[in-house]
Amino acid sequence: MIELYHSQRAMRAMRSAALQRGVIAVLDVGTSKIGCLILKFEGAENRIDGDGVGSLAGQSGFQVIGSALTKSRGIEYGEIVSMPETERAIRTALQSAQKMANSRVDHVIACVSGGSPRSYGLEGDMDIKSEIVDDKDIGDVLGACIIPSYEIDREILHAQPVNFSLDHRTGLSDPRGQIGKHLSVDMHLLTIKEKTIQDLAYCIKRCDLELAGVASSSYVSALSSLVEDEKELGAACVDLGGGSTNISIFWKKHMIFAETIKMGGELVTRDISMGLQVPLSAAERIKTRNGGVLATGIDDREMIEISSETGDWELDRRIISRSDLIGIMRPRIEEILEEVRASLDNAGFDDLPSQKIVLTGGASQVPGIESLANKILGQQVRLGRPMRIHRLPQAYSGPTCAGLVGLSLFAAHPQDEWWDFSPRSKNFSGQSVSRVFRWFKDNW
Amino acid sequence: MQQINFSKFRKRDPAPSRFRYKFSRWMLSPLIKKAVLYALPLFIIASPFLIYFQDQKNKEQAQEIAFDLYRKIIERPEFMLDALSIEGASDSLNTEIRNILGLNFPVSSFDLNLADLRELVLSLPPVEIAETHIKGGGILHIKVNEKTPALLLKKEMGFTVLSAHGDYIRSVSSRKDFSNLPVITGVGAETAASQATAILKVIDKKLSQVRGLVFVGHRRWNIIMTSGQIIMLPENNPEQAIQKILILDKAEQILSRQIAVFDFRLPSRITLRVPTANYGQTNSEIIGVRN
Repeated sequence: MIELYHSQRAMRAMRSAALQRGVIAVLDVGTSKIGCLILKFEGAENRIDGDGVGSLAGQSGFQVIGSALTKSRGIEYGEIVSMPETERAIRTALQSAQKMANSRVDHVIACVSGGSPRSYGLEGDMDIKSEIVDDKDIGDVLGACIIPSYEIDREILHAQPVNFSLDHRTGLSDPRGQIGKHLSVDMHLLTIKEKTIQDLAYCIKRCDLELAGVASSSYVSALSSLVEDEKELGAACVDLGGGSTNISIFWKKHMIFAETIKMGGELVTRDISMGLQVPLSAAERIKTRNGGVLATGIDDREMIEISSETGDWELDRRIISRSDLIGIMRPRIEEILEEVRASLDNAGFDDLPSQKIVLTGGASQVPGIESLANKILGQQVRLGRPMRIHRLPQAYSGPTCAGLVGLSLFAAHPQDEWWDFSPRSKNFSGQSVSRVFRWFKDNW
Repeated sequence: MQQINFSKFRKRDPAPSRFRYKFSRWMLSPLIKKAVLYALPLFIIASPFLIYFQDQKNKEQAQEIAFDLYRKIIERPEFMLDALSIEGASDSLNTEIRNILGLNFPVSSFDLNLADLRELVLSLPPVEIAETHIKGGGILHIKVNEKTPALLLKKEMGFTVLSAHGDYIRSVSSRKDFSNLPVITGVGAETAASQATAILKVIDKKLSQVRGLVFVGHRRWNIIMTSGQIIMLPENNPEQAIQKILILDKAEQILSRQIAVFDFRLPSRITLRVPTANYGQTNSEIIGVRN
């Protein structure tokens, strides 16, 4: 526990060191692609409007100077299965991003999509000695949270204070400076498998980079796809990725739940490949060019030529209709969305005042997925695109890069977490100081 | 049938090797980036020259070419000086200046340092102020202010011409050229030359037949008359003593009387000495010895 606290603090220190240098990389290691953005920070943000939000939603303090997107290797369902392959893929992405940025980058912030994250809601409370709440009190109350017993092979990825209550007032986002006697906190704790994060850290270390932060990919894709109101009123972000589907629920501007379903767009590709007996690459191509989930009359007449190179003419020259393709894709996507529904139900999403669901990620580009999601997830579904950040290339503005953009936002403005507050040291309290003082008084 | 090597068609791994990756990062590090961008091209451009000039022979050759080019430029007729004109110098000084400068015309103005020439001219004793400049048409112009000879210092051998302030001007063997100048003598007379000038100014032809002034004992002056009479002047304020003599001479014509020495050393107690039998001898002794 203490070890994690210190390692997370060390990463925060690394991040501020990187910001001082002005250049930091964000790395999204996904199942189907590895994306890398190199961000350049230019001091303080220029201008803050009257409502406290600057231009570009307060994200104008940095710009993208290098970017690279490469096919992912050695990763399945968001977890590294072949370290050398993954290392190579990371090298490819980083080298081309560095080349574009024309600058060397030493610090990287990465996100983890796999590792079966698990959410816990924690509570902690304590009495305040000095009447006014200060940083130390917040550190203390966060430390007073009862940590649930999770498996030994898990590690805490996020520990974000969600809500503070002071005496009988609740819903405080920042109680510092307020007067009260009894402070309590709700904390959202996210644990993931230790091995997943260690593998990633090792791969990054092998590339001569320093890890300056880790985030859950459910969290970061929601950061970029949800708008402020949705975060405030309650919304779920569903990132339909290649290997896994990441779900996160936001309420009162804080993430309160995150989960990963190990199903994604690659399963659809695999189904097409098996159903049509074509190689995976051809299946992927057909999926992206002709895919859909809603069959209409015209789809029966829209024929798709399937070309493969087995040498068997009968097999290589086939024509299928688009409704055939939809017939393969739709059940799988339905299954994924039903899993999402089940997961949201488990999390108690129905209890939130607003039940907005935002679909993002590569698989959300399938035509017609919106109306399919309407049937399964409810009426308030929209497709999310990541918000704009300064100088982001056009190719990265699609929903595929929601995680990457969110990671940039995370790098610029990370949320306060448990390790950002230092609790009062138990060993060195006021007593010992007064003892030293008394000793001086007696002896001099 | 020919075997087809399929490995040839296999796609190359797009990932950079570890070494390549590290190398590219190294190349992007700020210092190396700058070195490659600026230092390397500079070195490449400079290296042929450096290699060429490593050889002493090439170096000398290049220096020779550069020197020839330099001479060619500075010896253009526009920069050449053909004559020296000297203004404000007597004929003898004129020759002296020409000798000391020792210029062989035509000479390039680049080879001359006007400040040095001026120092050289100023080092000549008769020159008080000198200006050097180059006039159009290739003429080096030197303007000189000569010191005016005011006193003639008699030495054991010959004479020295001094300015009014005792500055040395020149040595002459006879006083033929400077017969109009008053003569002074005595050990250390040149140090008190300004006082002598002041005394002579007061006398100013009112005392006729002054032969000269003698500086006595490093402190005071004697006036020697052509008649052999001696006027001993005090150390302080000799001008007042002369005024007194002039008044006395006007009233009593004392200078035309038979008196050998007018002792004005103590102005309140004027002493007169009558000539003894060996009048001339004593005087000549007094000139040098008595104070």
